[in-house]
This record gives sequence, C-alpha cells and structure tokens, in this order.
Amino acid sequence: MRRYILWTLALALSAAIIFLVLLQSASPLLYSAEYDAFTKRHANPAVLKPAGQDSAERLLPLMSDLLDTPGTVIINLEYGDVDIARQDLEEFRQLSQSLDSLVINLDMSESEVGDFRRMNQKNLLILSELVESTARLEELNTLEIRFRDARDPASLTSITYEGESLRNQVSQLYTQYQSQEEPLVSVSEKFEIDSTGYEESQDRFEQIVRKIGDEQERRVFTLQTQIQPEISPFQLTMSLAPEQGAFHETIQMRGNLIGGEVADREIEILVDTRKAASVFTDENGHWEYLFRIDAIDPGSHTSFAVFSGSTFSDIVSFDVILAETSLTLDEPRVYEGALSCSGGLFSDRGPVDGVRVDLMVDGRRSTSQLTDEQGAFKVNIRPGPGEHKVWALFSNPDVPLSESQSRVYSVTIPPPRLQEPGFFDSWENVLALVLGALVLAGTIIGAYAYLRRSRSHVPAFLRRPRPAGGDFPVIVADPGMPIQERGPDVPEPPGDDVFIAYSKAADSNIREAVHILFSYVRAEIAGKLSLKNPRSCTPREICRKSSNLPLFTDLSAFVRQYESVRYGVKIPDEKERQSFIDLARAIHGSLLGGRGE
Amino acid sequence: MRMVFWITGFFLLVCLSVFFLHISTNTEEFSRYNMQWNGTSQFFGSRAGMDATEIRQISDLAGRTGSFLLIIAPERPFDDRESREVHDFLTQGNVVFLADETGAGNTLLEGLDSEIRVFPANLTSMERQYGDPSSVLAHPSSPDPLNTGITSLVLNSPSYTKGGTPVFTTSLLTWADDNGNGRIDETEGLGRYTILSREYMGEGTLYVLSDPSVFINGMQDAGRENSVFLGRLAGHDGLDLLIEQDHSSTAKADLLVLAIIYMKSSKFMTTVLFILVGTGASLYAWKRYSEVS
Amino acid sequence: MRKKALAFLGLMIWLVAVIGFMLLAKTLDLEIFFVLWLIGTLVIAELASDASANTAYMRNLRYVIACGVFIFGIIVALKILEILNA
Repeated sequence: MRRYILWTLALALSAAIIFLVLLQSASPLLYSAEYDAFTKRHANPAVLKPAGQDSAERLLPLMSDLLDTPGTVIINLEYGDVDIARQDLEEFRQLSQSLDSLVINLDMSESEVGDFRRMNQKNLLILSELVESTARLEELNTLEIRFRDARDPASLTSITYEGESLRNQVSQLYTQYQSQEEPLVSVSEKFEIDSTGYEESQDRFEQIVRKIGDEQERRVFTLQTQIQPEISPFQLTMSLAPEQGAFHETIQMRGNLIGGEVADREIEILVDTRKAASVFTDENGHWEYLFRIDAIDPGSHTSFAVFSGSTFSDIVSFDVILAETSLTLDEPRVYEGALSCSGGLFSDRGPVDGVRVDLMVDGRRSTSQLTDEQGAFKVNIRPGPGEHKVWALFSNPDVPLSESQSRVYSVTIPPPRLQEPGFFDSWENVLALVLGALVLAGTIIGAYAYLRRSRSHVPAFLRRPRPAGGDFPVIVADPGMPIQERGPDVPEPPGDDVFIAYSKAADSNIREAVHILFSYVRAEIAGKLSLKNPRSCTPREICRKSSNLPLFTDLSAFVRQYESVRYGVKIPDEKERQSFIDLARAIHGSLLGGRGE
Repeated sequence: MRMVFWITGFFLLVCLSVFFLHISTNTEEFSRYNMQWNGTSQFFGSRAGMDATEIRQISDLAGRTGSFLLIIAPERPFDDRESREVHDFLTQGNVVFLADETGAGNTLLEGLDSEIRVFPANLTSMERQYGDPSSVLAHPSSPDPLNTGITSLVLNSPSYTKGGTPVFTTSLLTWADDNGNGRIDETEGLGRYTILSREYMGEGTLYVLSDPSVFINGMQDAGRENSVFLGRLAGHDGLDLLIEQDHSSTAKADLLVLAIIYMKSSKFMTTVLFILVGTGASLYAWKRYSEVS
Repeated sequence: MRKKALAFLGLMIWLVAVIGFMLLAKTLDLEIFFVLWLIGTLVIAELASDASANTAYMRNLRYVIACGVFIFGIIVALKILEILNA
C-alpha cells in the first residue's frame, strides 16, 4: 500500500516537473546575466565588452597637433622652403585623416570636436592652396628674371598678370584663414589646448601676403619701366559687366582687337590665370564671351584676354557673391512604408538649379538629389519602420552658395502590414525546412538505430522467435496439394551461421564466442523441452533438465568445457575450439533425430 | 537501502541550504543583502565593512570624534534636525562621505549649508572602461588624500556635482546624454564634470561622490584603481568607519530577510533554532536507522 | 540494486555539477541542460548495460534515450532554422 503512495507521489512529481519544463520550452533560456544587466542606476560590468581604449585618449593630443601643424607649414613658406612645406602639408593631411576617422568612429560629428574637424578641413584646404600658389609664385620669380634678360615683354606681361591673380588669391585665402581663428581658438580653449602656435601663424600668414604683394608691385614696376614695350601692331581691350555676380549668373566679357587683320582671330580668356574659354572675333575685331559662375570661390577674381600669346588686355576683376540660400521641405508623405519628400532650394536671387541636396534621416545622409530648373527636388526613401526625424540639407563648399537646412519633420513609418510574403517565397525558408526535416529524419533513424544497436551484440539468429511448443507441425500429405519439401514453419537446418559467428568471435574473444554457441544450444534444447524462460537457465540447469534426453552425454561434455572457458581462465587451443563445434553439432543432430520418436 | 537514505539526505540538505540562501537575499538595488551584481553584499562582507559601526539613526552620531561616516545612496531626504546633527558631527572634526546620484542627498547638503550639490544626469564619456557609454572614467583633479597615487576610477552611470573643490573629474570628452541615445548631439556640450567634490567645514571634511555604484558587487573587480579607492575609504587615515543605515539604500531588506537577520543577530533565537533542527534531524535519522536494521 | 543506485547517483552528481556550472556562468538554459542530461544518460546506459542479460529498467532506459535523441533532433532542427532566419 505504502509503495503505491510512493509511486503515485513520484509519478505526480515527475509529471509536474515535465509540465513545468514544457511551459518553458518555447524559450528555453531561463536566465542569463544579460536579462537584468541594465537598471536605471547602473549597468552590470560583467556583461559589458571592454572598450577600444586608446581611441578617445588619442583625440585631444591629435587635436593639439593639428592646431600646431599650420604654423609649421606657414613658417616654411615664409622662409621659402616650399618642398619642406609640402612635406609638412602631407603630414597635416594624414593627421587630418586620422582625426576624420576618429570622429566618425566615436560618433562625435555633432559635437565641438566635429566643429573642430570641419574647421581643420578648411584650414587644410586653405594651406594646400597657399602652398601651390606660393610654389607658382617662386617659379614666376625665376621666370621673370629669365624673361627680363631675354627682353621678352609678352611673357613678362603674362607672368605679371598671373602674379596679380595669385596675389589676389592668396589675400583671399588669408581672409578665410583669419575668419577661422576666432572659432578655432574658442574650441581649443574649451578643450584646454594651447593655441598660441596657431595664433602666431596668423601673423606669419599676413607676412607672406605682404611679401607676395611687394613682389607683385616690383614685378609691375619692372614691366612698366624697365622693359620697352615691343611695338605690336595689335591692341586688345576688355571690359565686363556686371562686375559682380552670384551662382549661375553670367558675366558678359567683351572687347575689341584693334590694328591689322582683326577678323576671325582667336582670343583666349583667362580667369584667375586659368584658361576659361577661347572665342573668335567678328569682322570688326569685336569679341564677346558669357562667363557663367559655377564652381568658383566667392570673392574677388581677375580676368584678362590674350591674343596669340603676346597681346594682353588689361586686368579686369569681378566679384563672386556668396548667395544666401534657403531650403524648404514639404511635409513628407508616408506611402506604403516609403517616404516621399519634396522641396526646393532658393537663393536670394531665385531658385537654384543643378546642385545636390542631401536628405537626412536621423542625422545620417540617406540620399541626395539634383535640383531641377525650379530649384525643386523630390525623392523617395525607405527608412525602417518607427519614428524618424527627416530634414533636407544643402552644403557644397565648391560653389558660392551658403549652407542651408530645412525644418525638421518627425515622421512615423508604420510597421509593415501583417501580410508577409509566403513562407515558401524565399529559398532560405525552403532550405531551412528541408534541412530541418533532414535533421529530424536523421535523429529518428538515429534513435531507431540506437534501439537496434543496443540489442545487436546478441546474434540475430538467437532473436528469432520460436514457437513455444517447439514441435514441428506434422505435415499430412494431401494429394490435392503440391508436394512441399518443407513447410513454411520448418526451421532451417542447423545454421552454419552460428558456427561462422563462433569462429569469427573466437579469435578476439573466446568467452563471448562460446557463449554464442551455448546460447544457441540452450535455445534449441529449451525449444525441445518447452522451457518458459530459457535465458534465465544456467548451463547446469539446462544439463539437469535434459538428463533423460539422449543428448545428455554430449551436453554435459559441452557444458563442462563451456564452464571452464566461460568462467575459468582457460584459453582453449585449436583442437578444443573445434570440439565445441563438434559437440554442438552432435547435440543438434541428436535433437533432430529425437524428433521422430 | 541505507545508502539511498544517506544520498537522499545529502541532496535534501543541499536543496535546503540553497533555499535558505535564496530567502536570506533580495534583489533590491544597493541592498547589502543583495548578492547579485547590483547589491553591496561584498562591500559589507569585506573586513572593513564587517568592522564598521552601523548608524541606525542619525542621533547616534552625537559625541563621536575621529570618525568617517559613509552615507551610500540615500533614498529619502534628510530633515532639518538630522542635517543639524550631521553638521555638528562634521564640525567636530569628523569626515562625512556622501555617495548619491539621485539628488536625494541634496537635502542634507542644503541643511549642512554646503556649496556642493548633486545634479542627476546621464553622464556619458568618450573615455570609458567598457563598450557601454555609462562606464565613465574619472581622474584625480586637485591633490587630496583620497586620490593620491590613483590614475583613474571606473564609474557606472554617474551624475555630477557642482561646487566645492574637485577631487575627481572626468575627461573633457564627457557630456550629459539628456536624450539617452549614447551619442553626442548638437544640444549636448562636451566638458569636464566633477565626480567627487570636497569641502572643509569647521574641523571636518565633507566629500560628495556623484556615483554610489562604485560600491556595488559588480564593480568590485571592474578594474582601474577602484579597489584602492574603496580601501582608502574603508580605512581612511585610521579613522573609525561608520556606515549610515537609516536613509541609505544599502539597508533595504524585505520582511523575510529581516526575520532571518533578526534570527542571526539574536543569540537566543539561534540557539533555539539549532537545538530544534538538531533534535529533529537526529530523531529522524534514529528512526530510519532502527527501521532498516 | 547497487547498479541502479550507482547509476542514479552518477546521473544526479552529473546534473548537480551541470547546474552548478550554469549558476557560475549565470546562465540557465534548458536546452543545454537537456543535452547534457542526455549525454550523461547515454554514458550511464553504455557503462551499465550488459552484453547478455539486461534488467527491465535498463531496457526501458533505451526507450527514454530514443525519445531524448528525438527531442535533441528537434532542438538541432530548430537551431538550424534560427541560424538560417537570422
């Protein structure tokens, strides 16, 4: 009775535990440290990954280095070491690149560090232009001496004009460099970076500008006084209108070629000493060119015209105005998970066409689009579901247009509708299904194989079910029936497979081998005597039970030998092994012979 | 049969002790009975923690000298009387160390007439120990016995203090992440924030740390020189360590834990329990033994 | 009887050790626990089973193991689906 209570209790307990486990089977991970690693007041350091340590610590020294480098570049320029200045500039560029990657890696572009990086990039731009201009001015100085000695007024005029344009450019660079000083110094003060080197570089830059100005004055003086102008039959005039313009406006440049054959002559027009175009004169020697303001820095620029490389017009200058822009963005429309955004870019002089406007989603550039003639743009983007902040941004330092940004919209993209693509639409799913099915099938086969295998060390013929009676059916000859050699239930003649299995096993494990043989014999006798549970019989029991059978003598000899091998330490030789088989055969034969009785 | 009996007994004993261990702990933030990462059981179980005197009410402070009072993560405000008592304690030449990030300790600071205040904020730094932005590093600022020889401390979601003399400050690349997105936005300015401030009051010294998380179990082997710092707090200049257990979150415990603590602290109850359990166990063992043999 | 008790004790110690290590790692995962239980049971079945004569509980254990292998197959299949869908 008590046993039953215990059993029921154990069963109920097991069932309860299995039930509890099944409840959790949907999410088998019951607990991991990540589950409660973050609370309002702290995070569990055990689950946090160590930070990439040095990057943030490198930032401030790098910024300090970057603030000092322009000074060295400028000092070298001041002393005329353009090559060394170039090397410094290259170093500056590499340092700037490492700052760029650091700011991006640390995700700090919106901080003061990001501002510093932008100003630093501009400094790099200014300095690389300065180095190039200074290098060219050095060249002009040597050329000047050569042309003066060669008394080549045309070339001399050309380089003087170029000098003028370079001086113009350098003084503009200086203005830009100056405008950087105040914000850069304030940022560096905030980060406790020493900015005296940078502030000194401002003065040195001014020195360079002054020196270039002096050189240009001298060049002009030389041109005007020391060289007799070559008597040229031609004279070239140039004028332009209007004298200032904004982005995508045109400046009309025109003039006349006078003297000699003036019709259909080629005139080259140079803006900032770079060839802008070449036009041909009409029959009166009149020429005209429409200069379209595109990718050009705001500020003052010089231009002049040249005929056949020797006749120069005067230098005329014009101003490029930095136009203020305003960017509009209409309320974005959500349509089937996509976001349709449209808007326009306008300057104070009308719509701006042909520039790229960036569409920002959550602070990152999503796409960009060219504006059309009305300054309008329209894009479709597909941000993921959820809430996003969307705005448009225009920023292009190459054109004389100011930066502008539209207002920021908050949009919510609804999650995709529940109607998802069918399970079988994607090949991954099908593959997964097939693989899963294969694995399942494999384990079913594995489980079955395990069940089979755990019985397999009992030879197969021993597992063959035997009729309990052991007697073979008496076959009564029936004239109507075809003659049968053997009935369906008649056992096969003494299985040679027993002896083969015995011989096979005998080499490696004689104890197992004799057991195989004994099991066979026992099963045979048990069949004969209709024993109920033959496998529970010991050899001697079998022997005792078959004491009145004719095979008794053989069997007792067999059992004696069997016991000496199976339970003793005796290892039989070849002859004894064979005698096992002989005895087993004899017993088998005797069983068959006895059947007739 | 006897073997099964012993084995079953052994497993039952294991299960029982695990069960008692379970009910004698809790999961309250900062609780000294919380053995999880966010409890302070390790600090209170350390030698210094065991030797320290518990201050169950502020009035117990009266008349003490040469002491170092730790107030870890107060969760309710101090009233005027309590502030006055702490003030008296402080001006008599003792040291008060307040670790608070929620601003609950500001009532005490106001009552003490201190110029230091705690500003609750989600302080985040580029200089961090772990990948998570909350593991801010702090560095010594002005010389103080608490920071000599230490190069950096790891904090865990600290706030910041203003006023007083800075003893530990963060690096310049630190900001208050107001919108909690883990990155610095245009509205969030970088700067150096004070983590530990000091103020002398009368003969005594007041320290205010804006991050009590340095005491939790999870931070005990967080690296850097935190253990040096904690050791210095515990054995500060050979002063007697007092630990406030009235306002502090470290004293948080639920009813069951309290009962067990009572049981542990009362010698009589322990003896009774021991005798009860011992008698029961031996009776059972004797009965089973006689049954079997 | 002794064999049965030994097997039970062995499996128990193995499972307690597994739970202990899971606690140390602060991760409690039923899947891992199941697989480790299966391994332990397999080892015991292999060590305790006899070539000729097996007791009833050892024979029944085979069916438990077969069920376990099948559930293990389901776990592996689910893991494959998980990895492919990730």
